[in-house]
Amino acid sequence: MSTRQLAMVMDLNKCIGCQTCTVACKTQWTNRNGREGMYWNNVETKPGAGFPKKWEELGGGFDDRGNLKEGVVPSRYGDYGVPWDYNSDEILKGAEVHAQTEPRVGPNWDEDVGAGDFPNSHFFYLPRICNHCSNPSCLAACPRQAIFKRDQDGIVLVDLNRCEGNRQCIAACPYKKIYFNPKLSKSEKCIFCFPRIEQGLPPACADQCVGRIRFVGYLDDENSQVHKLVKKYQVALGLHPEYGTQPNVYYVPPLPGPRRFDKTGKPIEGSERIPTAYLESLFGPAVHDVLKRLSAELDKRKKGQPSELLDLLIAYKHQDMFQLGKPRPGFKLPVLK
Amino acid sequence: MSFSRRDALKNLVAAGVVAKAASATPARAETKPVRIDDARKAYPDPKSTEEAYRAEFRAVRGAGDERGFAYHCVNCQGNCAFEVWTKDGKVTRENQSAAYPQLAPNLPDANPRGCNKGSQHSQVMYEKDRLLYPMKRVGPRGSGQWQRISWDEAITEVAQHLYDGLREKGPASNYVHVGAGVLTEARAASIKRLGALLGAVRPYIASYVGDMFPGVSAVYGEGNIGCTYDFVFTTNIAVFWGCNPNVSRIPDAHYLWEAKYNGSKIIVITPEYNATCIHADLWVPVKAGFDGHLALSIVQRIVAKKLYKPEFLKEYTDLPLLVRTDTKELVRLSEVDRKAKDVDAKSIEQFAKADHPHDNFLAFNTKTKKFTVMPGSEGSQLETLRLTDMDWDIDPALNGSWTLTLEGGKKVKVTTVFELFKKELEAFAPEKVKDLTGVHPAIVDELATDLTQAKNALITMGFAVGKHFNGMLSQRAIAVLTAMMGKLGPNGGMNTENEWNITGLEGLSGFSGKYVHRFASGFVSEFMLGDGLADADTLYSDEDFRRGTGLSKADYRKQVVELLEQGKNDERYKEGKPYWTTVENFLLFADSRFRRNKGHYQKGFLEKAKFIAYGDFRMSDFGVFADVLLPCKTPYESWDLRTNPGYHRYANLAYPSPSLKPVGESKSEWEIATLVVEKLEALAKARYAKSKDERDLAIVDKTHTQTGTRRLDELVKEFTKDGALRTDKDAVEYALEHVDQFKPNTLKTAYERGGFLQLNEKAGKSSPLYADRPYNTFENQLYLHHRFDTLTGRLTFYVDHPLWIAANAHVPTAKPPIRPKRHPFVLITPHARWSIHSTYKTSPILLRLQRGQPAVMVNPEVAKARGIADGDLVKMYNELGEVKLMAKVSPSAPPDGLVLEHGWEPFMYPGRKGHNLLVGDMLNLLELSDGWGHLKFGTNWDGNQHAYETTVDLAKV
Repeated sequence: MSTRQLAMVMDLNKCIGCQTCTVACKTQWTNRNGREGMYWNNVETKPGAGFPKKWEELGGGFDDRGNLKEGVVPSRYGDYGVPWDYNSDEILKGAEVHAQTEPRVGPNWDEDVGAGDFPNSHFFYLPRICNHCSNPSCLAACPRQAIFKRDQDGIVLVDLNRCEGNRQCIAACPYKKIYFNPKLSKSEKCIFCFPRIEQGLPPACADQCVGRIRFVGYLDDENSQVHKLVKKYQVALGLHPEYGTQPNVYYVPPLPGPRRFDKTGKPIEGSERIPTAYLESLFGPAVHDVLKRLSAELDKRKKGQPSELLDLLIAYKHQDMFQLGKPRPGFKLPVLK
Repeated sequence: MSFSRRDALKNLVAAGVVAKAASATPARAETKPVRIDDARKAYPDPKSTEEAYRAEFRAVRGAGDERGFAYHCVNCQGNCAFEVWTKDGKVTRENQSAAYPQLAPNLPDANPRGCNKGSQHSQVMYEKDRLLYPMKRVGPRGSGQWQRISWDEAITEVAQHLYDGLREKGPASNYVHVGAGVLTEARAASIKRLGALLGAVRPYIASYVGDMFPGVSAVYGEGNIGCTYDFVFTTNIAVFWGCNPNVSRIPDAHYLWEAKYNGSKIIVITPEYNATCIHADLWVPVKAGFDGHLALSIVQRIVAKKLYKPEFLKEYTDLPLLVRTDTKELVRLSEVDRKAKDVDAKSIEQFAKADHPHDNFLAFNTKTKKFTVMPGSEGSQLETLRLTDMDWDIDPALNGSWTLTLEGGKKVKVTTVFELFKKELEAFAPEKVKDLTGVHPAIVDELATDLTQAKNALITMGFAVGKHFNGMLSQRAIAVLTAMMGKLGPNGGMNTENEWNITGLEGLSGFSGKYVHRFASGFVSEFMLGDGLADADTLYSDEDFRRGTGLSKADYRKQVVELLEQGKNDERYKEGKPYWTTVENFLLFADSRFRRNKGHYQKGFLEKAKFIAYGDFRMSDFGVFADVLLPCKTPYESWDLRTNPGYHRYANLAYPSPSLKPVGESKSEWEIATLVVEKLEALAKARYAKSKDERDLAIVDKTHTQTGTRRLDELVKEFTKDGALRTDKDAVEYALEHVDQFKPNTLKTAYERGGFLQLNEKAGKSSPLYADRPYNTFENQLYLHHRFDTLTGRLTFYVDHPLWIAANAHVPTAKPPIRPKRHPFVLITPHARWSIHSTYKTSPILLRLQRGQPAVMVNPEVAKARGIADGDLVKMYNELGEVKLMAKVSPSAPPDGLVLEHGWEPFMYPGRKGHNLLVGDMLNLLELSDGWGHLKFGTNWDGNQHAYETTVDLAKV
């Protein structure tokens, strides 16, 4: 455990699946240096196989007694997909443009697919970064003890001096959020943009999130939105709490979605388009209470009554979503030489 | 392949931005693992890893003169302020500046705006398809054989062709246009200015891309109306009809879900279960192309249950106006016996302009029991809709039939527009149309109640509605529904795309009328360039026409051809739309028209084009067929300003980072236009010096100049305003100086605010732009009783244009699509999440977040029946051709439709056969009609190309 813990809350009812976060992360960290196939941030359509493919079936995490569970290192070709490139230099020559490696799987392969039957189909978006767990199974699994948790903010980092590329961490992470860098032969992962945090800038994925779904702050800071959403109102839950790693990324679970239709096309009152049982499989049994609490607040608001919780989720000021204890740098016209 | 770690580090250093930083501070950890026997005792200092990441961050995010600002000026219209970072003269990265102010404590701010595409422009600007040098074709068109040439050679080619066109065939032989890839106030003005100076043909973009709202213009007098997106937050009911803001309005979509948290009910009406539906309170799965039927069924319930407000309809709509039952024409003062006892003579005196009796309309005043002229029409002396004032008191009857005496004594039966409309509505009762619309009557009832009973109810209509053959009627039906809701200004109503009132830019893009371009109808000119009639003949059967128009194929075609003749070339026209068959020399920018256009357009176009010069920052499918290629700058290298449309109240600034190095030999459009003008003047003067023939210097143009001629020896002086206006930076400075709504701002204030300026209060068109409230149109109508910009001054239900009467569309109605029933699937190609039309479609970063190629969404039951598995190569086909692409099996797709994000360039498909090859279209007579009241050709009244009017079959390859 670290002295303090930075955390992120993602409100899935506001996520629009645009992947601006994914792209922001890519240009900030992973468009170079052997990281091209990594998605420190990804957004997947749920229900769906996700990224890497079927990661929830690949093991890792802890069992009930606190022992590491077996895990699998996903395959570059079958589970992640290679970062394919194109012959776009040949457009000029009148060529057809195609991927130079045949795309068969990728980080957003099942976009907008979901489950169910039209017109009662359903899906939602699940953005994922490293959970910077309080009990990281990657750290526990590393034979070199190359993974450490920063004391000042709980960010989990791989010490690249020590990492030998054994990949035990990849197998052990139940979220499959550590990646192998084939150029360096070392593991790398989301660093919660700590160099940005240190300058008063939120992580790129959160700062650039146009859906305004991501709150960042210290869990012990009672003024921070993350504290209020996780501790005070208890509407944000960790993903797969049963994995036993105590994740520090929390999710406001999705509301049931528009009403389902009966055979004649009439909406069924009170119906759940997204089955709550499915949400329970992701967020644990607490999801029932959270959804009830959210619905009750929404009903209040529809009647014109105030709701501090919904005001928090609305996030009137973008900057208030981030409580990092430092001001954000401004814009000054440079004096030209 | 095996490689050592040392090699890996070498690659890393070669890989780019990080490399330079590495020399100063180690940008990366050492690659050799450290051998430690007892880890707990001898844990090395992790700080070197942390420092490596910090160094990498410093290298990517520059500082000081390594920061510029930009937005992405393509046709998403979103327009978001970005910080752009450079290192060693090269752009490393961008992020939203996220500095827009919060307007009021109870209103979410607009930050951070932006999207997935804008956030990776830095990667695309150095991609392999970037155009770096001017080039000239040396093989047959499309063969891909090029020769690099100098800028002077390229400009000479362009100027010589334009000059030869002017000199030998006249201004109408030249076609000068900047397409949807550069839609901005400052940058795009360059090519508009050039075209206006030369009198060249320019088509209307919104029409040819099919993004117009002519059906809304018919009702409201203008197509671009509505609100800034923050207004959605204030609604009680917000409907999104035929659109998918979570995908195509990414920067603004947060307002929907914040509105939901604020107690608003969010309703989405689309044929497919799209990304916006997932968070909605109600999704209405309407069948593609039957939006008008659904809208009128809602109106039918509103009328049947009397959910409307009669006072609103009486003042703000034409529903009480009188119509002759024999001719179906509106009763006009010009034909009425003014001396008849039951005509209110005082109202004539009070309201009607003496010389405009034809534009004055009557109603029956229940207070006086007399026929009264209504105030506020085009022929009215008073620009007010007020029914009661010091001098008059009108309570117009909404219902009734009367006998009216015409001049000369003839008596005719008259009734109200409302009576006729109610009769038409009978056919649209929810139970009667439910098999067409696919919408259960219980939903129609719910909508009728929600939309009328909520205090603030807003219907936002997307472009999909107008992309059907009878889509104009559907747009009109939805607009009429908003009129029946009785909502204006702060109460909601109709939202298409708000447009700000920006004055002072005419001097940038034109010459204040001294010289004008030849403004062509977008949908007609493109249809004719591509021989669209031939494809329509192939695709649509007689039965298709009869179903969608009530006329035979031969009759309908004949009428269309007659109207086309009336709009052709420089001849004056009354009907039809202007277009020029004389065009030969094309100077085009950022316009990938072979991607966009339908059927066999490419063949027809290439046959007509004698010369094609194409400017763009990247190689598009169209560029392959050009004769000369001109490499242009991208938004990060250009100076620019952008405001409209009004999704927000900011004008964003493009301010290149001072330390940025040019990419290849690319130039801005302003520089290119200035060079062309200089060369053209030189060519003309040189020819005149030899010939002494005045015609070499002065091009006669009686119809599109005030002076009668275009002086070629004064081109540079005119174009550059005596040298003041030559570059993109000049254009930005001109705009800051001349636009009232931008004041008081300078480059410095816009920079230090974060790359934008806030429009002042003068930007509102029909409402004040308050400092602390969202904007929505028509507050001036609601509170001050201003007239609408329509013939009657009122929201217009009734159009008595002869073509509309003949088509039984004089009252709002809906008609089914003409798409062939022979093929089972309607091809739905909505705006994409991953590109703005074709821009950014070839980005590897974005393609890796898709399937890496075009993929069509197929319903699982359809796939099963046809033996198609997810990821299979399939073919879509109809009489126009066959297109191969990947199948993506998804229950989000309806069983009777195939959903394919649009924008794919043909070169992304096997055999370079893009999906638009399968798309046919037919010109709609009502969209061609012209010359009635406010339905006069211009930016408010043109038509749409119909991208969704096609069916296809599907099979596994």
